[in-house]
Formats: sequence, structure tokens, C-alpha cells
Amino acid sequence: MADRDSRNDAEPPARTAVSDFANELPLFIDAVQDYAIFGLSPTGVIRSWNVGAARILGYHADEAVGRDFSLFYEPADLFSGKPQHELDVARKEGRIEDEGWRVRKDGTRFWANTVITAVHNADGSVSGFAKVTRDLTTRRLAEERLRESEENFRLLVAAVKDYAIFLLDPTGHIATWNAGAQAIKGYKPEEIIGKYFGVFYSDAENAAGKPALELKIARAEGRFEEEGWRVRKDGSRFWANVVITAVHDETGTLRGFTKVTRDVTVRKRADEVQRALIEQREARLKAEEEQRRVEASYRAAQEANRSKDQFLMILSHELRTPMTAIIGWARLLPTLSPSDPVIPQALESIARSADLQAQLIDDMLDVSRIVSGKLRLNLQMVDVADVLNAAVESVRPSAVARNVTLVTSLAGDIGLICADSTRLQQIAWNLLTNAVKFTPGEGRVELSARRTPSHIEITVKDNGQGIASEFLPHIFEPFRQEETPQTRVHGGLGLGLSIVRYLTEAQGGTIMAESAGSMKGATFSLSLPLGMKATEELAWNSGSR
Amino acid sequence: MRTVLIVDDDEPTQQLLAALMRRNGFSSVAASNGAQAISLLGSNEYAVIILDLMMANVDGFSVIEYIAREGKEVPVIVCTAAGPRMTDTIDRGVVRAVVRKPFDIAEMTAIVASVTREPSRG
Repeated sequence: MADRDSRNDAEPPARTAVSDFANELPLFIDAVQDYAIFGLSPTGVIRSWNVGAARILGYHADEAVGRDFSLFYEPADLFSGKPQHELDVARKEGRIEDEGWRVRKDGTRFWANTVITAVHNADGSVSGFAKVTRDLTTRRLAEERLRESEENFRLLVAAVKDYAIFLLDPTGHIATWNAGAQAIKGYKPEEIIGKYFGVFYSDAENAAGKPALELKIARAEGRFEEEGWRVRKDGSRFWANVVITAVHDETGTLRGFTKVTRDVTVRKRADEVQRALIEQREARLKAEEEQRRVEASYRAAQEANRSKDQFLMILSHELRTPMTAIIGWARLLPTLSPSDPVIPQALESIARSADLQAQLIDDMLDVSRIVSGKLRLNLQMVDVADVLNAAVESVRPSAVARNVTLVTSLAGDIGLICADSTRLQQIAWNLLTNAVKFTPGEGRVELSARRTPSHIEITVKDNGQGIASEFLPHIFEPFRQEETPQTRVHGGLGLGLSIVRYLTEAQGGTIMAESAGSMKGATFSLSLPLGMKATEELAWNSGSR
Repeated sequence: MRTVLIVDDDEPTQQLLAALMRRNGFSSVAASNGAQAISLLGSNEYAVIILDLMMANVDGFSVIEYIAREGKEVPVIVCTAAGPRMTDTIDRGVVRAVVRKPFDIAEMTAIVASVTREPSRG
């Protein structure tokens, strides 16, 4: 502040009449500690001395006053006549400012900022000079350290071989170049500095404006990073990891960009090999998976074929068996005498065989309708006891023939249900026939039924050969019998229970089979809702099962 | 009168074969399964066995094995509703003919006559 004030005093040159300049110095100047402020005669003799001068230069006032101000200059400055030159300039121009080394009383140097201002008499002649000296050694050293640091950093950057590190000006022209840049890109500094950095990109990328776009992104977001192909001086390509960082000064003005580029071609190739290996492995796994899938579906198809073959074999066997008696008797009867005692038995055989075959065909047709979704229910109010009794009576002859006791236990209040009468009887008949078939002589089959507030529950229980636990989950599946064709011991197509389940579910009911295991009997429990909703009926009728 | 052993789990078929054999001058005994058949074979001589294959409680294959193992000199006619796949592997040393159900009664008569007319092998 002091030097600026003194300059203001000097512009226009002060016209204050000062006869004794030293006496005119205000006391506060004398007390200033941070600046050396002293007066000089027109020839440079020190006339006054303040506290700051004593502190900075090391002389007491009585040691300094009366001596020439060149006392503070270095020998080289003295040799070049610098002190006198400064006075000449100040005299001529009113003022001179300088920065440079000065010498203290003890011989040590300090970095000084000095301002010498001419003080004029009323007639315009120079009456003397005011000199203000500041000790800027600390700032100077800091600046030097910074410069050294910057120099070191510059040298460091210049020496880095593995990274191309260089500066771009705000328009993308190359401002610096280091050893790494030369090694990676192949240009010498004199070949590249000043060129637009688009030279590192392919023609197509330049045409598309990629370099400019990268600067735009770096400018907007502070930073741009990517990996991509770049072009060397010799035209060859390398895979580069590139980071461009925008550089702003303290006022926020864009000064340019730093660009750091690494050649990661080797890593890229290694990655590609690695990726190729992974892709190859994935492709192989996928192919193996596909093969497994094809094999599985082939096995499933084979399995389905085997099931179908097996079913056709059984169907053929089951249809041929009753035909044997029918055709055989039809041929034999005409050769017998009308009074042959075997004739009633023959007619009975034919009727039984024909009934059995008709039953098989009915089951087949039912399954066919179920599979094609064409089975229709004829729902009406049905007397459950009537239907169940009719089923029992139709099974009774075969139970009697097998010496199986057939017991019926129907609750008195069983009443009516909304169901298909024929299909309900078919369900009961199938369950009873099944129970009789798998119950040996002296066995017992019991049909019971009761009414709950919402359902009719029907149970068919026998003490026959039971169901093996491993077969129990499959008991309602079509074409399943607990035996293979080679070992099958019971006739039939294995369709009865699958039809029972379908007809039960079609009428909104559920069915469940239980058995404690082989030779421990079996229980089939059926539950039918008292009233079936029209929507459910529709759903079943339009179903595709 | 020579006796035919009829082994079949279908009762109408048993009755038909019995009537047919009687008309051809044989008496007959019926078994409903392989177990009964083996039991009867243990203590009786038969002119011929008409044997079903697929039966509960010891099937026809087991009866054939039993006859082969015991060296019984009785001709066997297999009478089955099963297809060729199941009869292809039958022991032809024991089984003299395979007749498919439903069979022609004239054919069955001829086969029974032919296997019973021959003297015993060996």
C-alpha cells in the first residue's frame, strides 16, 4: 500500500514545497515495521530511516543516515552502476520499481522489492527520493521451490517411458511431448508439437469428429476415458487406454487438456485370447447342454413310444382274450347236439366275454373323449343311494364268483346331489370292480357313503392286496398298472382309475387313494360337492384334457 | 381216455377248450394259473398241455421252464392273445406249437391231433 500511495503522490509529480524532507516524514511512517522506508538526497545519501528499515536491513538509524544508499547493493550491481541508474530513472520518470537481491548489514542477502519515488520542490526540481523496500525473500524462495518442483515434475513427466503424457491447448493442439509419447506414438517432439491431436486417430474417426467429441466430453464432464484403437506415426494401430482431463486455471478458464495414453495392446490381445477361450468353453458347454436336451427328449420320446407300444400290446391282448370264447363258441356250437348240456354254459361264456369286451371299448372311448376334451356331463339332481346301489348290484355277480363279500353302508340322509347320474355310477362301478379284482377269495369290499354340509363322501375299502407305496403316486395315471406286461397278473387296460379321477374332478370333486402297503388293503375316498357351479361345468365342457 | 391239461385264467376260454377237447375224444383238466398247473403236472400224466402265457400267480413262461427243467415228456401248445414279440423267445424244445387267440377251432383240433399222434420223442 505504501508504495502505491507514494506513487499516487507522485502522479502528477508532487508539487509540495518541501525544504527539509526528513522533517516532513509523518511519524507513522517511522513506526512501520514491514517496510523499510527511508528518504534519500538527490544524490542518494540516506536522510531518514524507519523502524522497518532497521529491521530489514540491519542498520540502526545512526549507522545508515548520511551514507549512500548503494550500501545495500551487491558488488555486481555496484559494478554496473545500478544504484545511480535507478536514481536517474526515478528523477526522469518520477518512479522506479525493481526486484532483486540486496545485502544486509551482516552480509546476508534478501530478495527485495524496491520502489524509488522522486520528491520535487515547488520549482519542480528534485528535492530527494523516498525509497520503500520490502523483504520478499520468503515469497521468492517459495516461488523458486515451486519452479523447481514444476521443473522436477516436468522432467519426471518427460522421462516417463510407459505412458504418453502430454498437454493439449484448448483447441486440441499438442503443447508438450514426453518420452513415453515418443515411444508409444513414434513422433519426436519437433514433429508433433503444435499439431492437432487428431493425428492419433483413424481417418474415419477424424471424419466422424471423434477427437473433437472427446474434448467436448472432457470439457463438459472434466474427464474423458476410453479404450480404443489409436494410430502410430508409421500407420500401425495400437490398443490404447486414454484419459483426457480438462485443465482450468483458478478463474475457471479452460487452459487446455492433459492426455495420458497407455499402450495396452498386449493386455488386449491377452484379454481376447482369454475371452476366446471362455467363449469356446461356453459354446462347448452350450453344445453339451443342447446334446443332453436332445438326448433327454429322445429318451422321453422313446419312453413315450415304449409306453404306447406296451399299451397297444396290452390292448391287443385284452381285446383278443374275450374274442377267443366268442368266436370259438360261435364255431363250436353248430357242431354240438341241441341237447348238449354245455350249451347254456356256452351262451353264458359268450355273454360274459362280449360284456368284458364292450367294457374295454367303452373305457377306450371315454379316454379318447377325455383326451380330446369332448366328454360331456349331463348334470341333474341325482339320488346318490339309488346310483350307488345300482353299481353294487352290477358288481355283485363277479364278487360272488370270486367269493368276495360285498358290504354296503349308506347313511340314511344321503339325499340328492347335482351330478351326472351315469358317470357317478361309472365311478362307483370302477372303484368296486377294482377292489373286487384285487381282493382274493374270502376278502371283503365295503362301500360307504355319508353327507356333510357341503359334500357327499363315498369310500370304497377292501382288505385285498393293497398298493405298493412306490406305485401309489401313479395309481390314477392312465395305462398304469402295478405290473409289467411280462408279469401282469390282472386283465384290463389300466384305464379305470384314470377315468374315475377324471370324472370325479369334472364334477368338482376330489379322489384319494390310501394303502398301508402290499397285502394291507386299499381305501379310495371320493368327495363330491353337493352343487356344482355352472361355470365349473362350462370350464370342464370347454376343457382340452 | 387221454387227458388234456388246459391252463388259462379266462374261464370262458377254459370252458370252450374243454368242450372242444371232449368233442375230439379227450378228457380235460383245467388250471387257472401256472401254480395250479405245476402242481397237477407233478402227479399226473397228460397227453398235451394247452398253455396260456399271461396269467396271475405264476405265468405260462414259468410252466415251460418247469417242464424243461424237470424233463417232462409232455407236448405243450401255447395258446395266447399275446403278440409275436412275447412268443419269439419261447423254448421250442418244449413248446410244439403256438396258437394265437382268438383261434380257429379246426386249427386247434388239428394241432392237438398232430402232437398227440406222434410217439414220444427220444
